[in-house]
Amino acid sequence: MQRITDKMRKRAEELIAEGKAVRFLGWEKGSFWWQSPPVEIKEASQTGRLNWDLFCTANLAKYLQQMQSAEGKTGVFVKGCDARGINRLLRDGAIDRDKTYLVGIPCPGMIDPDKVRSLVGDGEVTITQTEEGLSLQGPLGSRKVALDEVALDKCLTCRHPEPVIYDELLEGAAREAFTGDPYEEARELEDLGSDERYDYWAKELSRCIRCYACRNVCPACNCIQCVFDMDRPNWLDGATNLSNNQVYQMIRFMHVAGRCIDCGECERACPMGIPLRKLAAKVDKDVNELFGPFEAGLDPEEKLPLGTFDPNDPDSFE
Amino acid sequence: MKAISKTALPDLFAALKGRVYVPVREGKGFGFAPWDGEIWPADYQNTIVPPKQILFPQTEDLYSFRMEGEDIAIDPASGPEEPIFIFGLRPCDHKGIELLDLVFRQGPYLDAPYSKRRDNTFLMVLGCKEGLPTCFCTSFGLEPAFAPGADWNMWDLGEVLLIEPGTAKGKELLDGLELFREATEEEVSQAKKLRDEARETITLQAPVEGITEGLQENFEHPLWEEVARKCLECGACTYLCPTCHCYDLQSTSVLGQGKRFRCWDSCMYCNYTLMAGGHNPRPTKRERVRNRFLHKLQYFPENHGEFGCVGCGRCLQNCPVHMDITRFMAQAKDVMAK
Amino acid sequence: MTNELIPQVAKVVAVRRETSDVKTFTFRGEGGLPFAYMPGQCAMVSLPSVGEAMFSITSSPTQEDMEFSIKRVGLVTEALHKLTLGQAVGVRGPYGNGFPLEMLQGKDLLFIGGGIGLAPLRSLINYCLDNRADYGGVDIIYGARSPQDLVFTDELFERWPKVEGVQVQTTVDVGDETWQGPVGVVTKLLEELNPDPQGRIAITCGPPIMIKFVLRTLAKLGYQDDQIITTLEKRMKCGVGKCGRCNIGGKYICVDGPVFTVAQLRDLPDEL
Repeated sequence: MQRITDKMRKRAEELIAEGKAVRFLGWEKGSFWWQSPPVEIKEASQTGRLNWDLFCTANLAKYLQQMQSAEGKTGVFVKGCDARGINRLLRDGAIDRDKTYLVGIPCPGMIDPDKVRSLVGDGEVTITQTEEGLSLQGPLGSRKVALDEVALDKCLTCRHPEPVIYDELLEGAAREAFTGDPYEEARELEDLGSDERYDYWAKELSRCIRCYACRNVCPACNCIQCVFDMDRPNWLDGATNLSNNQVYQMIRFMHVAGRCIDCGECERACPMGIPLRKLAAKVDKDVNELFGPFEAGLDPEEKLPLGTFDPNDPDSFE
Repeated sequence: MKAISKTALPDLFAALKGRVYVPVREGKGFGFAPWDGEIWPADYQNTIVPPKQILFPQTEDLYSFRMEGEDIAIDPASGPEEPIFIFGLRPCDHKGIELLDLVFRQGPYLDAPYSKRRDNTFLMVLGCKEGLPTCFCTSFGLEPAFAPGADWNMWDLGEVLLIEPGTAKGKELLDGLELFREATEEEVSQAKKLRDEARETITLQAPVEGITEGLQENFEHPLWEEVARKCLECGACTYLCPTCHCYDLQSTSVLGQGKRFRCWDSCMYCNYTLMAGGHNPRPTKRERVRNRFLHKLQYFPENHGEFGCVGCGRCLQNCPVHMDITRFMAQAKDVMAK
Repeated sequence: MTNELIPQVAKVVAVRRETSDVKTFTFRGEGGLPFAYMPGQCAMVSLPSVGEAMFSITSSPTQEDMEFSIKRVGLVTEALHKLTLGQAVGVRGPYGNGFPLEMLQGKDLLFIGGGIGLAPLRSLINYCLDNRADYGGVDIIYGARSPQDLVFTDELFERWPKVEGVQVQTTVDVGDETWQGPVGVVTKLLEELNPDPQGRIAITCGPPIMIKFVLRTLAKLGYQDDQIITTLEKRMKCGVGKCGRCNIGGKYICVDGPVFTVAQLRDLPDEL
């Protein structure tokens, strides 16, 4: 970790000095052990703030849109999911490749703080990497675990921990790419009867407070003006109730169908703990079965399954 | 001080005449829900959504309407009638409600639905044994295990809860039910110890001294741009804040018949201050983030003599990009010193 | 406890077209005037299925009816413009502080309005003219984009100039073949008129850019910040200082305003 942190700082400093990037997006250490929030570095002298650890979860692709109007190139450190987010935005013409400089970092997978808390508690927690895995220390004691025991669920099924687009790649070890069935949970839900499935989602979505955190972190939600922010017409009023919440989530997930890269940011951002990745997985599964096989964000010029007309597309409304 | 065995809590809830809200497991955390016969969970630290949602629901009907020819018939929504008991809210959230009282129950206008509900609300505060790493209530002069002015303050001693009334209403209820016994001296000193020790567990501090005056001088400081940079402009911090009170008024109708309701709104949203002609006095997130922080740290103190933050730490915990008001305050203090 | 957010029903008893996008509506409640008010105060007008918006009350409390001059700019105002005689609307109010009448008493008054910004001023102008003895000389300077955009032309050209001690000057940014009056911005007229600041209060309302230049000109002419009054506009929902959005600094425009002296505004952050 420290080695990569050192390299990040050095490269950012060099690239800013060489004029290859005017600013750099990366992560810095936050206020607590479980936080490594995004940071924007504007001067070579600030690169010491950059930090790489197992909490650099935030997808930085999202910020490139707000950088579009800024002068000069923006450097960005990208994990596998950030890189796919960037391909997404490139594919939609939302950002300009010539205004970005991408430094790839092979991703070992990120930690789910709740999993660590359940093992060693919260407060004074230290996590050190060992040969075998991780050594966790917290108020409830010490534990030695493999990273996968405390990794985010989305990392456990990550198919592209290596960045898929970059200008240069830092040396490092990525986790092994997942090759299993990405739709296992989606299948489990499908196997429920329709009433049970409805009840499951009704229970989950009734908690939604419509804070729009899921939308605002999503690298596939790149509309300049979202339909849910429109007054004329006002597609959905502000009342939080099951029907409105369902409409909101359904429209959003249908809108990112074929564009979702499963970075899991929606689920991480949701304060109410709604299992949004399951909705995403179901939509992705359907897209794959109907128009696939397809994985979003692998290529900046990819043909979008729902953005391309093919006379041979299945037509199940018969 | 009185004591009640935890096993007798269902009897207490059943004896209360009104709707009893208790903390229950909800999603990955906890939330308040009407008591349904199940006992409350003992291991919760705080709820994700603060109990403000009981007194100031996220969505609330105001009136229904019907167009009748040229006329409009307006039918006010029936107001809240039932007394409310909130069991187990934390001292920070009790303070949050007191601050909402300043907004909704004071000044030239009372907020009728809130005030009606609040007049009929009984607050049973449960002291925290231990703060979370994100708690900083003591910075605002609060105590994690005691809420001055609460109807009841309660302390969890394991098998029993100790109860101390803080209002006449609180004493009346405590004296009127036969579920309690006098607390022993030993228990009273245990509660005192819990209260003292809890204070020590709050390690996060926010520099409040002089912050209001400092911010008054720095409305145009470049720090605002820097702080706002990473904000994604979602509403998580505001919706989960026990003192945020902004709302929108909206209508829904079909064929001239419908209802008008109010729902929470957030100063972080891009169209919150957007005017019909297109002018927006807070056009970018710099102005919006600034407004949120200033509302807590400058405007609320100017208007009410108290900070609009209780240090519950929900915004620190739930911000997707870890915006941290304590860190902002420290940065602002640094800037002011220069 | 009455719920302040619930409107009462009033009827449209008159509609007058002022310009292509401004109409003046007269509303009457069941018992006549929906509620008592003072010049400069506002009210929420609603069409329940469309929405609700805050408007300054254009009429003077010395008049029998309540009037609103409404410019068509958005969803609610577009719907209001379709109102016809006899139709019902919701109204609630009055909101806001209104003009500081005590401060104005015995003073010479200088009104500077632009476009629809004359609407709140009109309430005070008519109030002062109906209580003529309480005030000194009254100067009214009004400007609009074109002759077609002038509001309250009957009063501007007929009624007000006939009152003793009242002078009205009207200008347009761009004239046409029918226009014989001055052409140019209000500040030009203001400079030409050069009213003595001694014992005079200036009251101005109009588009933000006009207010900016008017304030600059008034300062040049020797007016102090506490001699200048303006009235502000923000997006509003509740009208009672609770819903949050209309604040400038710690002040809510709906209860602490909309009327402020420039001296008061100087103490507030620049977030107009």
